[in-house]
Amino acid sequence: MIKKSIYICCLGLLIICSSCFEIIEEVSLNDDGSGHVNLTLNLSRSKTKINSLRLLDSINDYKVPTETEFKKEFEEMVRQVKATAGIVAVSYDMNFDDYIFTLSCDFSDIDALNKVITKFNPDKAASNGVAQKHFSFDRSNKVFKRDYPYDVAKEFNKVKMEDREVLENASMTTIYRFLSPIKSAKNAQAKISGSRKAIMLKVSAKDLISQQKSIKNQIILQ
Amino acid sequence: MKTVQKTLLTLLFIAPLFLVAQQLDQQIPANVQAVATVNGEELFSAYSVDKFNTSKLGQEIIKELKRDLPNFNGIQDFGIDLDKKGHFYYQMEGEVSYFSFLLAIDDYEQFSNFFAKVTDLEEVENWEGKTIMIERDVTLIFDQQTLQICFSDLPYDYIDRHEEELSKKYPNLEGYELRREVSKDLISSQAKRNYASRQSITSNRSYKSSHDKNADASVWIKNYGGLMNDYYQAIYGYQFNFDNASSDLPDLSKMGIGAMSANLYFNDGNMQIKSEMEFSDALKSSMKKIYKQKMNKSFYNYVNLDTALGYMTYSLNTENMMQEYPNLLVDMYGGVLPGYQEEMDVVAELFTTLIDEKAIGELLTGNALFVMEDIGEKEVAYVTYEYDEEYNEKKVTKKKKEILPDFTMILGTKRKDLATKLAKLGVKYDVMTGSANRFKLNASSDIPLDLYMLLTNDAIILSTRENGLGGRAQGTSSATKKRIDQSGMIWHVNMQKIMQRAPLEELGMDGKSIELINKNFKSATLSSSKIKGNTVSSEFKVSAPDSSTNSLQLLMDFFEDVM
Repeated sequence: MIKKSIYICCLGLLIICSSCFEIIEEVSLNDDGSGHVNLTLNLSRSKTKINSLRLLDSINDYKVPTETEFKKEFEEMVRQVKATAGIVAVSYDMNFDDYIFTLSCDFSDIDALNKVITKFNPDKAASNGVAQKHFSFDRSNKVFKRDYPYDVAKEFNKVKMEDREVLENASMTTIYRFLSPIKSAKNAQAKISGSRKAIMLKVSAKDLISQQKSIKNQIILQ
Repeated sequence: MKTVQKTLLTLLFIAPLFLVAQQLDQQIPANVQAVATVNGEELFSAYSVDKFNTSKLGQEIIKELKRDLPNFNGIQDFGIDLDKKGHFYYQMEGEVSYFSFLLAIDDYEQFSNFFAKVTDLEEVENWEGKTIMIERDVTLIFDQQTLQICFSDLPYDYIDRHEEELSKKYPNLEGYELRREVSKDLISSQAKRNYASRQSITSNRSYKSSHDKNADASVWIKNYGGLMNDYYQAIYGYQFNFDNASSDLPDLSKMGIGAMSANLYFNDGNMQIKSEMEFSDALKSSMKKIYKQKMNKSFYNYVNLDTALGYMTYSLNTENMMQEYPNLLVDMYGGVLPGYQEEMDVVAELFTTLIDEKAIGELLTGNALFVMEDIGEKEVAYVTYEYDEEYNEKKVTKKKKEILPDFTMILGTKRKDLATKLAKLGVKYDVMTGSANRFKLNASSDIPLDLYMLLTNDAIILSTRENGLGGRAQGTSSATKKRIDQSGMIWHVNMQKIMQRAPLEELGMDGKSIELINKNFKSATLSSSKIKGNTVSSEFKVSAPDSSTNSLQLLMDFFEDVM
């Protein structure tokens, strides 16, 4: 009873502290369309809040998963990625101290990469095994494209008002590396590295939702 | 809209504002299960009728009633004597719950005029010199001095369960008509019985001793368990009867809780609710042992309760609680669920066999203190990424500010040696770091804050402040210590200190709310006494910033501001 009372006193305060998270998508592409992908979900900035939430059974009508449940879900996703044709060298890490979760693998072609990214989307395509077209690579013209097959604003409107704050403070960073130098990139927000072999784009979820910015890009290699 | 419902609703709403004369409670029958009283003289001397009429609440009532009564200008126009006590009481007679109001009439003509216009009680008759009005769910009896309103709602299955008897008494009626006549007859009979009753509740010792005539409002419940049982039967009884499982219905009247009472006071500078709950002899014996504990004096060396933002204290005897738990299980729940008495006995015996009460009682004595000391911004580390010119990422640790509480929790122990062994086991399994008697819980644990632990000869101290551990505080007043010694439990919140310390705007509180709290509240305290005789007393007190403030006026002004 005492423990519960204390939690109630502290939690009310902790839960309203703002939170944020970042998603980092890193792809190294070979000229033949194969490559390596590294996906990171970093919740470290919100770890105080997550630690608080973990003391609850549910928040805003959502069940708060236990560490075991989360691990189980994540491992299931890894299992599916491992079973994907064209995917090898899968590795992952779950850091529950800082709440950083990573998954990386090698892919034999862009289609395999699309299947991996599709696994992280909670819609029917993921469960049906149909790869969404997140990436494309035209080898002959050396054009690499990052697309986004969702209407983010529409999806955001489905989210309850009290949950939106979490998304508004989130960000997504994409980093793409190539063996050949980059000739040009369509998204003006993206920054090309000094060697012109890497390109980075950081977009806040707020801008993504309001459609002020996009992670879509078309990169032409030399 | 001339309806009985509207009249009743109006009376239900305004009744708490009214009062009746000398000893009107002598007209309350002795067989009632609960009585609520509102002391109009006290209330309206603190907050005048004129003030009420001009308040937002008063204006709403006037606006509503003016639709039917163009000349209605204020609550005094009901014709009810607002300077007298008003009573509400509850009875359970033969499966039917009856609710009654008893109010004093100040101006009979005004009252009659008011009722004639807002009601459509068609059956009016004279009964022993009184006027009696009868409708399906309500009966009114009044004369020049008093008004009694009795109403009820028959249980859903009442007609079905009495079909045979009722078909003889009302041979030509069925369905809605039958239900309507039965209801009218039952309620009017009950109202007449109440009015004619020669035995008053004022002869009940429990009622008399608990009912403070100077309180602004009071509630007395003859048997709390019985009342809960009536309520439970009313809600679930039909379903259990329907399933032929009425023997499985818990009998809450056997839970061991007897009379309960509460008195409300609007004092200068504070509002107070004092309540008392009476327990059966069996429960009394167990609770006496459980509450046989006094707070360790040494705890006050670590925290100053008088400067804290808030605190909770518990003084229970864990060893006795563990020993008494099986008895409580059998006494309370064995009676409530008679069909499971054997199961209760087995659970109780197993508990006694498996639990070493003495060892647990020595590890955690039952004294506990939780003190919220501060609240404010703290630097918190987090991991993020930085990138070089080729966008190769590098993991870096940065710091950001978060609003976090500072608190200390002290738990009494007689087994520092065992607590130390447990802490060392925590170190072995990386749950904490430290040695000797000082430890730090690792950030990866379930606690969302840095938490430090100090083990002393008689306490386990957990705190968010490393430098705050151990012999740092003096100054808890002897008055606070005395209050804790006399109590089994205290919850105290110092609103003024929280308002001063917490970055409220950053926490999303708007300026108006901050101003409202600053203006109206200083602190709130809930305390519960140890058991005395068969009774446990509780007190809830809300204090205003200015000790001379009229607390009722303050409360009404608060409602004005938030409405």
